[in-house]
Amino acid sequence: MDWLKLVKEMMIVLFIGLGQLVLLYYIGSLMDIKMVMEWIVVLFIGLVGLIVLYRMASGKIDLQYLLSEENTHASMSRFQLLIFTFIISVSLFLIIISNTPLDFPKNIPGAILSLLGISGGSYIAAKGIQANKEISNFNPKNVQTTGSPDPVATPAAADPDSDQSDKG
Amino acid sequence: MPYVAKFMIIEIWFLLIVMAAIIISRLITGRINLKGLLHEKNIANKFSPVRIQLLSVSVAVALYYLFKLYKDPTRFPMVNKNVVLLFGVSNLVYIAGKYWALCRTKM
Repeated sequence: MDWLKLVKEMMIVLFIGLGQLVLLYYIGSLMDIKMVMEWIVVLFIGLVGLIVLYRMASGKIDLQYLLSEENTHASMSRFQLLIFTFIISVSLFLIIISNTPLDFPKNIPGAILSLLGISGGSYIAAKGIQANKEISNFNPKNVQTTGSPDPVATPAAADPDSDQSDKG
Repeated sequence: MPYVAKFMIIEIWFLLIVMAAIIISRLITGRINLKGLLHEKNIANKFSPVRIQLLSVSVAVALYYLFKLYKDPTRFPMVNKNVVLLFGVSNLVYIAGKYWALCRTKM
């Protein structure tokens, strides 16, 4: 029965949650609970980051087409978005740690948001134009039926003269 | 500064630097595909001036931003409005070029 399985899973989650609360209460009686939570969050973020880095380095997260569109040509708008996202995130971190005590910046200038917005907007517009091109390349009149009962029409098969490489 | 804050700073620096190193090394060794980044897509082996200007302006604006940040890293740098305008126009030219290429293939 599905509901039995559901109740069993809910009980397991409840016991794990209660166990964590008891553990935290016990640790809290020994040391500052706020500090314990801070360490848990910092270690968790570090662990997740290390897993992502390990998978990137070992090739399990494939970066080959990080800057490419579907046709495997590199995209200038993706490249620009990568540069600006990375630079502004690093600068945000640098600003936070440069303040004593550590503090999030009080205000973010409109020019910074404009730079990110232009970069992101350019990427979205480029994607829109590319999608428009793919639709215009797909011309059902040119689909070659092969006599099979359910011919599959792909954009490349639909219009062989069209240039599929003009993307990115 | 508490130990947890010091540990977090080292941890985030480590994650950011290693991630940047992985991406940059793969860009240099060609394991991240950069084929056709600066070329016209419908004409083989022809450089695209629009893409080159976008790359140049992007790199220049990024360096300008980093230079301003280096001078005062305690707050976000005040970026000149003309720089934002230049960046916007550069992107607009790129998008217009793509749109023009689309219209040309439709005709």
